[in-house]
Amino acid sequence: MDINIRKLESSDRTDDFDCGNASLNEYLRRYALKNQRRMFGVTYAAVSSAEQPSKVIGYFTLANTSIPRQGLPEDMLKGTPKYSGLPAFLLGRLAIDKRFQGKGIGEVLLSRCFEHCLAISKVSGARYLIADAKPTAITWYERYNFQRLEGNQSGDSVKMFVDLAVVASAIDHKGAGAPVH
Amino acid sequence: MRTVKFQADLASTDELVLNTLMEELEVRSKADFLAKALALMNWAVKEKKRGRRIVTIDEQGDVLRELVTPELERIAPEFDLPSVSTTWTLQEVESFGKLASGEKPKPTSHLIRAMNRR
Repeated sequence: MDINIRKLESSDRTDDFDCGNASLNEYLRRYALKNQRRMFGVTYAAVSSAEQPSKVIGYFTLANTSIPRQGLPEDMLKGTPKYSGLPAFLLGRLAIDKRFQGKGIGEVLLSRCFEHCLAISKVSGARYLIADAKPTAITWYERYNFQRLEGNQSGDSVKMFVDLAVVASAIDHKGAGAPVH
Repeated sequence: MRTVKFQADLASTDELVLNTLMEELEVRSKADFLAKALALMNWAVKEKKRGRRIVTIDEQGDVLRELVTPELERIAPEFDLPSVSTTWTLQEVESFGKLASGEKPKPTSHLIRAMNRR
């Protein structure tokens, strides 16, 4: 199956997308394009190019966010600009249609997300990628160096982050890599 | 009122539907028909923006069918945008500070694979 990853388009078929999570389905169907037009978040879709119009089989949404300075250790803040927050990227959502899960499409999407973050961070500062992970997805994110943060009070998601310097070091990395737990 | 020219290619089957509808609705021109169709679509979009459903009801007031189209489903209620939590608890910030200022982790084998896909 030929899969293409690109920005979500209004002609893309999203009506029967089902990742098993109603809010992620609804976001794609009803809000993703709207937020994209308003420039509040860009949604990238994995589409099957064999079907016309293109059917969305997975997506992620990328936006910007910031990490509050208050509470960060002095050592970490030394020499950093005195912004109210440290600039970062927000992986707002990432979902794969149930019929295509377990085929490595999530990794392809995440890889594209990392590439965008690294490219953007060359022209506008941002060091970390933040994700609000559903509890069932934590282990999956940890495989890609995301670290979970303690202290979430909502219970339905867990904040995680990955250092883009670590992501950059994985490019052309020689060696086996750290073991995945 | 200023007017603009509008031209469209229609499938022959759609032309048949158009002519039948114009006759049934007693609409004399295609321009008039288009204006009425636009008004109807505009109303549907406004209702969806208010978070309402568009349904047909029978004489007893029972709902028979709901109008659902991919296009109308894309209209998001303006008062109910879903949010991703971007607020941070102090504990989360401290947890982040501890992890981010510690020793940088080595890239995992999955990350290396992801970043070297060609």
